[in-house]
Amino acid sequence: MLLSEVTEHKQRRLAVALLLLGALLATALAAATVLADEPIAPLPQAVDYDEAKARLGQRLFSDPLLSLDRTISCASCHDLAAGGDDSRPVSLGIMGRSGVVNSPTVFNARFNFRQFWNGRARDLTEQAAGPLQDPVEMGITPAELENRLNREASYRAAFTAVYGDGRISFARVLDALAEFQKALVTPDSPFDRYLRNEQPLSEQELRGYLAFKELGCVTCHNGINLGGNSYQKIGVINPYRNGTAADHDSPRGDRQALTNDPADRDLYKVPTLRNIELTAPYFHDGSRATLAKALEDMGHYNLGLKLSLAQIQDLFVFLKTLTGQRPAILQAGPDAS
Amino acid sequence: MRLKIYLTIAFAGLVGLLFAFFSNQAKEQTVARLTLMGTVSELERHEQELAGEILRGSFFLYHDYDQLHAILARLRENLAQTEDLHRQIGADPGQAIPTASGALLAAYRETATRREEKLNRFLTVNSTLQNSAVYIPRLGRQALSAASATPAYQALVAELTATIYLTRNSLDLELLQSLALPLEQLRAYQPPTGPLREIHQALVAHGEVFQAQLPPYRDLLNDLLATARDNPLTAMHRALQEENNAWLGRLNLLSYSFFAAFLASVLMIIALLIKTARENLTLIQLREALTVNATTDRLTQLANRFAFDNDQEQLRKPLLFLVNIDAFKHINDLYGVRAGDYVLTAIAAVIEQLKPETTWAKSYRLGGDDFGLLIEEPAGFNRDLLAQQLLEAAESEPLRYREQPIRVTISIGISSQRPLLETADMVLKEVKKSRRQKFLIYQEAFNLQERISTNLGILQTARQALANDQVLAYYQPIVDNRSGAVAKYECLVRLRDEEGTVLSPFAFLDLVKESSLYPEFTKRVVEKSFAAFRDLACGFSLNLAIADILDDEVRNFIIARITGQPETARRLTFEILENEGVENAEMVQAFIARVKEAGCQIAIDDFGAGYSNFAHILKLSVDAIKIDASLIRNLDRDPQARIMVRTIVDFCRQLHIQTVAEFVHSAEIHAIVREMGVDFSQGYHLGKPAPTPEQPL
Repeated sequence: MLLSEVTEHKQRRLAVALLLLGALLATALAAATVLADEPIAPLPQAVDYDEAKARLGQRLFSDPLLSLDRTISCASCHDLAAGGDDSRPVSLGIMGRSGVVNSPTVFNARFNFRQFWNGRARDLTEQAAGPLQDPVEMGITPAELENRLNREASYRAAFTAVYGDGRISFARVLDALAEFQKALVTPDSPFDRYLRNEQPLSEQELRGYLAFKELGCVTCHNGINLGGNSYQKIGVINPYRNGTAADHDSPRGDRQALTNDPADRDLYKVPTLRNIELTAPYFHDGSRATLAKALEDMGHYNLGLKLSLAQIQDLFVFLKTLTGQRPAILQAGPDAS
Repeated sequence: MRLKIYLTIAFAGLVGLLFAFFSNQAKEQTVARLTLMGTVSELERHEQELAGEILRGSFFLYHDYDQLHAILARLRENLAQTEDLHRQIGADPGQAIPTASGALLAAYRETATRREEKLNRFLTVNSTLQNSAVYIPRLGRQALSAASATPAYQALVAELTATIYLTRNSLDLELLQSLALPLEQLRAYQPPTGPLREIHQALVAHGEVFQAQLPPYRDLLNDLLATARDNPLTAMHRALQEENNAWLGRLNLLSYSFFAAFLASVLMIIALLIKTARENLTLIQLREALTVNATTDRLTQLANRFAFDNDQEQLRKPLLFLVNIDAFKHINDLYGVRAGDYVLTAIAAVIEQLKPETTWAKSYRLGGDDFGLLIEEPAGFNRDLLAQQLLEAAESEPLRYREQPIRVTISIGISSQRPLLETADMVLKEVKKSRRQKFLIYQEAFNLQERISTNLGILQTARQALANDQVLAYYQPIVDNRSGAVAKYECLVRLRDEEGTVLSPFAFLDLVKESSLYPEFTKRVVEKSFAAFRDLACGFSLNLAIADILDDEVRNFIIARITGQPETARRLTFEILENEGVENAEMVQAFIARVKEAGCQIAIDDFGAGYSNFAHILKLSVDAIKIDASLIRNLDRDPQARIMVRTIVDFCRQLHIQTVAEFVHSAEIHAIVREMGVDFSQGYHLGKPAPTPEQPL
């Protein structure tokens, strides 16, 4: 075959390919605009929960009695007055011990398909048992916890009111804590109101939302929580680094820690983006102090590109529309503080 | 029987309880099985939904994964419910062995668990690929528009993007092969520093991600879709259907068994009912037999006294014929009890035969030899005719018992007056007394109460007379017809009441004879007569009834008198009533022999009335006979009476038996009897009874 023929042949192939590309793009886009629903759903404005039980859970949530040395409560690391998390990269447990991952927010946690960064708990009840017994968090045994609570007349009365008898079991404690967290939903964010056609977004916010989709953020951050419904890898294009020297071998609390599968390295449950402006620092290890930095680094790790300042600003403005109202249970009632 | 009834009830109750238990079980099972089929179908539907959602997640560049998790959650919930239900039908005793559906359900659970893990992996890869898929066109555009991009480079980028899109949409791994070349060439390309370099690097990185991730993506997607399409649910659905059919078969069998048991209970109850009915029938028959026995006389098969009492109450115009066999006791004595029974049966047959057919009628055996014929008396009924028919049938011919003729006579008392039996018995007694009438019909004049009170008064008078020695002997002369002189006196009993009136025997003797006073009466007359004739030279006669002779006290008294006054005794004649049984009673014959030995004479009284029998006279070797008043009274007018008297006199003369005519009330009669050759006469014409024997004329 002559060289010229080869070139010609290649050019013809290219032309065909381009033609095909155009046709396919058109088809895909047409399909996307016509058929796809919005990939994000608004939070419900009211949620179902047992009020009395949730109030009991609320009390337990803030009670340092639940930690071995009586120094910390659930609320120590999940600040309900802030974003439902704490401002440390990793939380401090009893006796000043610290863990390996950033405290995730308890707000809207009920909508996550799994709990914990690596999804090791199926639901809130299962989740609650973790930090209580974790030696670097609250470090208490179920028996000790039951003893302590049973000694408290006010708890016995409260449990009787909710469960019909004053028998305080670990399972009931978990149940009450979970019920409280079910109430921790932050509805009516500007974006939810936009989704409900109640209030338009600003031009920049809309640009940010478009970028959010065009850049592929939404392929992982979708659903009601903009995340929390799949495991994804941080560092698809560029491997994840947290900036420390021992970084490569340090425990990461990722999926691999659970499955021992090397393919699961750096796989985490996608974190929710709701109330994201309130939950700094960012990433699973809390290694990014600001949202702008987190956005920039996500571009690096998963797109392999440096996002433009304009893109970051647009995305930032969009993400701020995800901040909702404080949960109703925290706004009123005797234990609201 | 009672035990059987209880057992049947217990059996039926048990069947009922078992049926209730099993039908409840079956109902629960049915509900569980139907619901289970429903939840399995639901699971299959969820599988389809899930497959659709996976396809959507795969097709669209970005998609809300929550939908997938929601379907998964529903599926999990459904699966748990299915497992619950399956455990529930597993509780069926017939299902103790592991079932195909159980194994398939467990397999499905495992599949579902594995699938969830795969789905999570799929979502990871899907997002990665889509992220790249979203981003590569943008990078391509940037790369193509970069100032430093050569046409060859542009061609490579175009080829890369095109191949990626073809591959992503076809998931054809052969197409993926064609990605290797441009990717290789692009990797080898070193763009100049500047914006293109960064874009180029990203482009290559995304291309490599795509190349690396597409095969596992394709496998996961195919795997997931295959799982949704082909999982143990289909097989389980079929297995469940088969198990349900088998279960229904067993249920049918069970219901047939219950039907059979039910049928058995019903048949048992029917059998018991039939048995009870039969036993009732037997009881009714038994009762009827007992009633018949209780109301029937065994010997004669006639109804008995008990039946009579019942029956007579039912009748509006009852008429009773009370039939009595005369001297039945003597038949028994003479021929034996068997012959007596034969006689009773024969008379019963006679009465039964003559029962009127035109009205209600029934015959009874009312006592030993008393028979009754009770009828509802129609208007104009001829009572006499029936009585005569009865007499004719019973008496016309002697009965024959073992060739032995037995002559039977009967007496009939007839009454339509309640109390039937008492009134009929009263007239029956009259019949017996009269000896001339064979039947009598009770009349109002026989008023029972009146008679009884009169009788009581007479007996009282008699008792007082005994106490006050007012039982007297009167003496009537008997004249020798040849000499005209008084030959002897007949001693007759009299009674003086409190007012001094002397009563003739007609007024009291019959009553006294039936009472306990009679022996004393006889003794008084004997005593007074012996006293009266001790110092007189003439003869005297005393009347004796057979009852007197049979009475030990009286007999011994008389014999003591005869022994004590032998001279007086030689002038004494005993007048004995001609009567059946006289010649048969040993006691009587012994007495007669004894008194004749002492020189007493024996006369037959009232001969010619009733059943006069010459043979009797011979057997008794009597010294005299007294011709009955009924013959003497009409001698002057009745030629037949004259013939009879003449015959009697001739007969007696040849046997040297003296004859006495009584009731000689006139000279004419006296002349006739003298002319006829009667030896002695007595009567009002010749001398009335007087308190003392007159001196011989």
